[in-house]
Amino acid sequence: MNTPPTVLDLAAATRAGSASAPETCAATLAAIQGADPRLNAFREVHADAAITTARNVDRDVVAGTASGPLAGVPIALKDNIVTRVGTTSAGSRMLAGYRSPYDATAATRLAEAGAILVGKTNCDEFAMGSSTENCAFGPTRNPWDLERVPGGSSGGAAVAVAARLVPASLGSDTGGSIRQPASFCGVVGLKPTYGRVSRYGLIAFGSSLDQIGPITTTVADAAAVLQVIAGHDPADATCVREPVPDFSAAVAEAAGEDHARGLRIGVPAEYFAEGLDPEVEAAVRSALALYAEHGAELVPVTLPHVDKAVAAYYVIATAECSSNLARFDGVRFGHRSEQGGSIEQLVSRSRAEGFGDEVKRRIMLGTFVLSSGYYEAFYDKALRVRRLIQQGFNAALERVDVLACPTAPTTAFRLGEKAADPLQMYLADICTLAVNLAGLPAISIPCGFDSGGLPIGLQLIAPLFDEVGLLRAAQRYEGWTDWHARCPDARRG
Amino acid sequence: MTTIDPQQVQRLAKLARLDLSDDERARYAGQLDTILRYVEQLAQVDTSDCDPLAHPLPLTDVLRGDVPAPGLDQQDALANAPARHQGFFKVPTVLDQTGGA
Repeated sequence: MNTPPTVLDLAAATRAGSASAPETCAATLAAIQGADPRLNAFREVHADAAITTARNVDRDVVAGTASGPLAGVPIALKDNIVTRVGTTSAGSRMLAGYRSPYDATAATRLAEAGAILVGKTNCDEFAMGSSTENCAFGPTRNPWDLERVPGGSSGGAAVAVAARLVPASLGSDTGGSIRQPASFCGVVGLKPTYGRVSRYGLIAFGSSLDQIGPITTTVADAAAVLQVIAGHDPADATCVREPVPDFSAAVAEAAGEDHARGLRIGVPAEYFAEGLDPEVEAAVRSALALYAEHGAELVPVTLPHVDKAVAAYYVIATAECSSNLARFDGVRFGHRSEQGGSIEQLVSRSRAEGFGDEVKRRIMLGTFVLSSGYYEAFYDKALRVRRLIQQGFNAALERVDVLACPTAPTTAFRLGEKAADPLQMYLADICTLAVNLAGLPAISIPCGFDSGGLPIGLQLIAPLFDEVGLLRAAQRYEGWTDWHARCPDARRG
Repeated sequence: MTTIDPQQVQRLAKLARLDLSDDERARYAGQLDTILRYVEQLAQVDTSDCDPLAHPLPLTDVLRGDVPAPGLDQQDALANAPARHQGFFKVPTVLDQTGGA
């Protein structure tokens, strides 16, 4: 099997006329049709709209006006990013059949860059989960082992890329929902700095934590997609007016260097603690050794209070979710109970019928930590711990350029393995959650496989708005290894 | 130590507008209690010298110009409504005829 083209290759070939957008589109739709019955990565495929877009790109190529950086590149969107085309359900019965009257800014920017938006990928309901099993429409399966989860909540987005159905997808990351599935599926997942990418049109879960980002097969592709979606948006008050550097140029420069001299990598002891799978630890330590061999300096660092990140996160994220999901009332949009009754009964019954188990549990927990008598002890306390955690990261990142650690403490677990124990599921995100509390950019890149053939991810974390430093560090490792080039089909074939 | 029992769950469900079944109430009581027990470790951290951090960036009062711009038109706004009546969202009777709320 030939190596599937990257985002950058495909866009360049399309603009040059050596690849045809309609042919790329047709091949993509056929690949999805062939593989998705096994994987359930897609919620919806927007074939007609994709074909129309591809023809328009082709027309521009013929006319000599095709200049989009993503011209002719098929991209899938997580099912919590709204588009006027098709429906957006956030993996929930509550929003089954919901047709958005507007497009998310990130989707608009991709389309303006010439991307072909092919459909919506499956996710945990309202992005709440770590396995893509909490879905109203069935679980997504890991292409490396169909009996295992792909991670979550952006599991469908990671699988669509890992199975080489599309070269890129957009996910969302509230506590690791881009990075952890990227790690479990052997692909690149980038969570940009909070505020780097507009959240307009991202169905809200935890508004001080949520961020949209790309999932791709290479670091250069992640940079290329970030380039398009990053930047101020007046429709999202938290999307900042920070200058957007040339990420792709930075990555290209790093790709041309065969050393990492001058790079200081912090190694946080807290992320190599008990509970870490020995094979994951070995792969991550090998990656660190490879950096050192190429001249990088490894610096032991500590992250005070990061051991309390899971506890703080599940207070803050559930508080924000209970508030955000109050909008679902069975009146303006979403599921409405047919049981009738008073207005209050209508709302309570619609919500009870429309939300799944994990979403209800989180709404209840969030309601509890915000309720009178418990607010100070839980919510206010968690926000104070959050500040200490952010200060810990800031202090460490003053001494080094990036932090390196595992993305997840294990490789992909079995379907159903953690489904009955919510706390165990929460602990699967132990390496990623704190990054969202601090707002930092972070990336997961493939760094090996365990003895069962399951991918392992290396997480790099950078200071606020230093995606350039993050991507450069990631690109260097990718240049020395070929983990990223392995794909599940190749293994079988 | 705080505990979450089925009565507490019932109180929360009412606040959260969730019409839970008996089965759900019993299950959530156990699970939420376990999670809460874990979360209580936050109390071990000395936070007397630090302020709450609600948001990772130092953003305050992000304002835009007070300029009219087109928004959703009525048809788009109502398009996903489960029930409509003459251009409005339709809900069950809020005030009954006998004057009670």
